[in-house]
Amino acid sequence: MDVIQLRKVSKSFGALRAVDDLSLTVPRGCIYGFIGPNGSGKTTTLRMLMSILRPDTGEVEVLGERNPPAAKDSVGYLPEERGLYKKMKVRRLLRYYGKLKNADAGLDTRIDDWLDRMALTDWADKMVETLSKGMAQKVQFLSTIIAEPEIIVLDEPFSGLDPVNLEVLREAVLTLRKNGATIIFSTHDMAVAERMCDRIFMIYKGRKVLDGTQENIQAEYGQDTLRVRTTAGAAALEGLTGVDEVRDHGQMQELRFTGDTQKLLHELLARTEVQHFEQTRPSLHDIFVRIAKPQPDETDEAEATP
Amino acid sequence: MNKMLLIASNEFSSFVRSKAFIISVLFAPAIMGVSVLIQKAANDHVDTTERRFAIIDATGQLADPLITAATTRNDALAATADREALGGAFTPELAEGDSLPELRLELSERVRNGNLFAFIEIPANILRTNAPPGAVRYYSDEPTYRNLPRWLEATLSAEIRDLRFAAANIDAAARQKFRQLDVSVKISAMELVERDSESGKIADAQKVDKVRAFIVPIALMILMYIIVLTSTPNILNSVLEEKMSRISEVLLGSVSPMQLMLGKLIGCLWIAGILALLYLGSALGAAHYHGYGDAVPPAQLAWFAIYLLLAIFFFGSLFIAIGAACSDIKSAQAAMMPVMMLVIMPLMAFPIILKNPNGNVAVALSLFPPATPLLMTLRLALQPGPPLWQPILALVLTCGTTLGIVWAAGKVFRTGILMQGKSASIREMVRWVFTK
Repeated sequence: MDVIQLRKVSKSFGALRAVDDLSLTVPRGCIYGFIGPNGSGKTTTLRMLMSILRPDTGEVEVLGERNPPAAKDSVGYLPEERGLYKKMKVRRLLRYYGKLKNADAGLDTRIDDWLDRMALTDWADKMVETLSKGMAQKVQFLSTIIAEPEIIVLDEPFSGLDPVNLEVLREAVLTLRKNGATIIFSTHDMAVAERMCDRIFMIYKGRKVLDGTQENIQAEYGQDTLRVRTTAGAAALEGLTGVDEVRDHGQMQELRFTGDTQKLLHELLARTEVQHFEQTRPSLHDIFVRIAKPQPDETDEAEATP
Repeated sequence: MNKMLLIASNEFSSFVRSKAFIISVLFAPAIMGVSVLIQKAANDHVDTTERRFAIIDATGQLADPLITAATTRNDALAATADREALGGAFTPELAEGDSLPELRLELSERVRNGNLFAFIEIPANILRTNAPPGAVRYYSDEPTYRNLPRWLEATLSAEIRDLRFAAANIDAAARQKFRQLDVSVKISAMELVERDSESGKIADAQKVDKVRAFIVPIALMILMYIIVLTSTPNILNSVLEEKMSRISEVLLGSVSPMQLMLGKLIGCLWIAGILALLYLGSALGAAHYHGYGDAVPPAQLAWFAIYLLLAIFFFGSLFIAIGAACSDIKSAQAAMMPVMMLVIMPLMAFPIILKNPNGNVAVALSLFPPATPLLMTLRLALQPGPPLWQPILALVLTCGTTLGIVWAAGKVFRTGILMQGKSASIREMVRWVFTK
């Protein structure tokens, strides 16, 4: 069953078309990765899911509700821009956020439980302003999930986290999924998306460009990627026909190739000593870069939010 | 509704935990205490300060009678037990010099140095019947002290009259007779009388009581002003804090903008309510102590509550809109100014209303919605009070305007709280109001 459906949704801000004729479905119980460069419409789409913004045209259905605000209590939302009341104590803050979601009677037990799991028990009665940045990020995460929502929407949940806290939050997300929640998160980090997501959705300039399981997506792009390690390094690849987009990792080169791989291998052997030659599917990172190849004038385009 | 109340109680409890609230709580009993202390001090303390003044007398005939009159007064003062009505002794001295400007300067210096309280300058032409009014000059560093100039006016008038009669060849016996027959009428301001419904008798008229006639109405108005000014700007801070620390969008994941805004307004209303209870409670307590327990009838308290509610929603929404449209404290403070002016303006206009509570200007001002809560409260408390249709019309007008303001503020709030970086211009805010 699908918990979220967007049908032909569009949203403009003035002349800017932030989301353009977008349709997507999110099946229950999956981890749904939302990727796309800055300013491509990710946050706008998530805000429409949360009915913080209303689409100009199209339809948003959340948990079978055509009127998404009615489903708000069942959806936890951690926006990209997020903060906490500095002068509130951690426990009071979590209770407030939980109650705003109409959390059930088990709220207080759950708060203790989660604080314990995040190693924050000692901080339960401390002011938020005394927390370190990492602790504050964990509290923000807890405030999103403390009411046990069916759907959890996380906008860039892992950005700025140190590796230890990242691991803690990753664990927590997986636990929540195991307990039956559906998780949608947006990220810039393709490695995280690759590792965690059951399905990937990519939006670029307001339009859907990828949607499916990782396997489907990678299969679509075929086995057109080669990983090569040679004594001569990147220089060995210069001027070879069919070779495109060489990415030099130093010890290893990754390239896109169309043509006869055996012939290419022969040509390489003639030039230098080949230590590694592997034909593989493109990584998510590669696919992302291929789609959203930055144009010189839009590398720093600001996030297009209202 | 549940969520609105949750937001309201969060606003309320945040305020109650703040320093501002603790100060307000201490302030309330202080009003009562101070009023009691002032009364006690006024009872105990009698002004017995001796006031030395100099006389420059160009007529050469008035200084002596003045000195005699002062001596008579001082002797009477020493003899009486009731010194409160008369105050301290007046000690005159004669000042003479060749140059009037030099003399004025010298005496002014002495006043500044503190060894003289005041000096008076009597021109030569004062004895003529065509002397201009105000020809006698009184110089002092304390113009608010009126007892001495008042006594001088009365005494000089009598002496000058006597001298003019003498100049008109009226003999001493007739002048003496005239003094005895002379009168200066004083009017007592009375309230209207009414027939007692039980005994059927016409009750005795009461003297107009300054406390009931002026102090209670003005105090009610100032009380409302203080409550509005303490509670409403608070929401601006709360909205701005949520916006600046990026909390607004988190909240919007759980509630609609309208719920958030109305929750804040309700919270503000509770804050105003508790302040009103505290202040009105202590003020009425103080009034009761001074014997004015019945000075504010229940109907007036009801009007007070209704207008306070409207004022909170009116100004609260304006402050919410400003908080949502601004991105930093500096621009918010600048944008606050015009709204502050709206709050303060009625307070500036109240002397006009005191002069003529039911005049056209008073009616027009009190029907102007931003001014209604303060000015209509004042007019309702002033005798005889406006005709009933006026507070009701004002209520309807203010309700309508407040609904409009809340609606428009909601539009600005909805868009503004998601904007980061720059503060919105007035033009942008107007556009937000009128977009779908």
